[in-house]
Amino acid sequence: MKCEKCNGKNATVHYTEIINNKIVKINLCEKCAKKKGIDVSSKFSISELLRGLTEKKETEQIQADRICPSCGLSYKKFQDEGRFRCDQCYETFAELLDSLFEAIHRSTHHVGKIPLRWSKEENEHIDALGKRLTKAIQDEDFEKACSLRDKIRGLKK
Amino acid sequence: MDGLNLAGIIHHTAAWLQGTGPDAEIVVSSRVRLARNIRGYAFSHALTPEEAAGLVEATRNAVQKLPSMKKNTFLDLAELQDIDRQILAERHLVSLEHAQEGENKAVVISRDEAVSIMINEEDHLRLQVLLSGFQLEQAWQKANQVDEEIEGVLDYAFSPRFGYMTACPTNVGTGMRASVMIHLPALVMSRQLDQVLQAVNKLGLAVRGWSGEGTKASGNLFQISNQQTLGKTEQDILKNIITIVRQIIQHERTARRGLLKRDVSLLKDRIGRAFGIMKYAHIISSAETMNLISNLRIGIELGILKSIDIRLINELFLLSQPAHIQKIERKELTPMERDIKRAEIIRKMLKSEKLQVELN
Repeated sequence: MKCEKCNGKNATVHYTEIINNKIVKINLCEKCAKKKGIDVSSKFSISELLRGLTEKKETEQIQADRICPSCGLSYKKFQDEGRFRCDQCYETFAELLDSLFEAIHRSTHHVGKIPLRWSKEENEHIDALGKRLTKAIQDEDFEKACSLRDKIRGLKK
Repeated sequence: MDGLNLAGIIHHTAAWLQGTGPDAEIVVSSRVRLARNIRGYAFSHALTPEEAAGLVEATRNAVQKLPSMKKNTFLDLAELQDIDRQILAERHLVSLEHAQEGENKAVVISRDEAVSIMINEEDHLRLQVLLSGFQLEQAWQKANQVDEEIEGVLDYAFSPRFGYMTACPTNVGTGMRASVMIHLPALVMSRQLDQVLQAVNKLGLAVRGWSGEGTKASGNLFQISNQQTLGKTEQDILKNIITIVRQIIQHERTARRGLLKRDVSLLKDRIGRAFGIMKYAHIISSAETMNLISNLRIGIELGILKSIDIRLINELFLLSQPAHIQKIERKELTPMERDIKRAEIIRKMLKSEKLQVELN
């Protein structure tokens, strides 16, 4: 089927319009459809959803380029795949996850069960270190961030 | 043979289909599933085959020795035939995804089929407790107990902020999905179901067909589960579902009483016809069977159909699934052959059953 507008390319966009109370079926190629202002990219998938849920502020844009040091997953790739590749991804993308978790769970923090081996003091200590780590990343003090991260990892073992 | 015997599995009624437990006339089964990952391994889909094999080996050794998993059965899914993997899925012992062909997937199943632990599913471990009737709280307690035992031997990927870290962000936090399979024929017949389901959706619960994700409802069976896993305690999540399911049960009971009052002849007719077709048909599809079973079920539950045991109905329900039929027949069948064989199995099972449709 050829595009009804330019009569050249294959028509891949098919839609129905109501003109003067009559239903008209129109077949267009992608280029002509775009010209007409039809959104041809409306693929509905989990990655699109994730992308929509995690609309970023400008400051977050830089962080979106971050790559998980443990598995090499970038935030962009995470949005495509819809899945993390390792538990370190959570720490790596921590600040970016709030809006995502808020949208999915209407919450950003765990309040449920804690493994027995995670004693309370340990948690508080790690929590405090975690806050310092977040701050260090915000300040782009990556050397400090790395050492804090290692410290937290050490505690978690 | 101490554990579960796969060759003989089709001759057993799974624990969750015993037809026992509270409110079993409406809630067929209750399930709690926990998603867990092991520290030190990438998530399942990012593992190399060697790493995945290592994960299966390490978790297998730990899980098989758990005190609450005595007499368990370990199954390497790659070693099973297609048909056996499908049987496990039809019995809800593994997910549909886990039953697909692939290396380094396994499951450990308790003898009564109430507890199953999938290894290397979307998460490293998917621990499930599946019980008959409305027993969500009991399912959680059992799952929690097994979880604590696992935690004693394996190091979970956990963070105080995010909770149990899972491959998919929809499971993070508690990693818990609690669900009931519920039979709502009267709400369907009286056209009130959509209202109920809309309300349930608004309260943050998901409603699906009985086989789980992406499946359509058949036989008036629905699965209701929590969507939120982060920011709530397990107890709060369970309380929320239990409260809402209790209300749905009330609505279904009211609708059933209404049917008994207004449409007794209609009900008796449906039950009688369902029984007649099942007892005498020679070709019967899976979808038709599900609907007829629903009619027999409501007959038994309302006390109109006195002669048939609910366990027989549950057995019919499982045995008329495609893989179960082929297992009985010991060969692959075309859909048409399956429909013929299904009718034959049902006729045999109902052979000595007589219809006693009465009130009080």
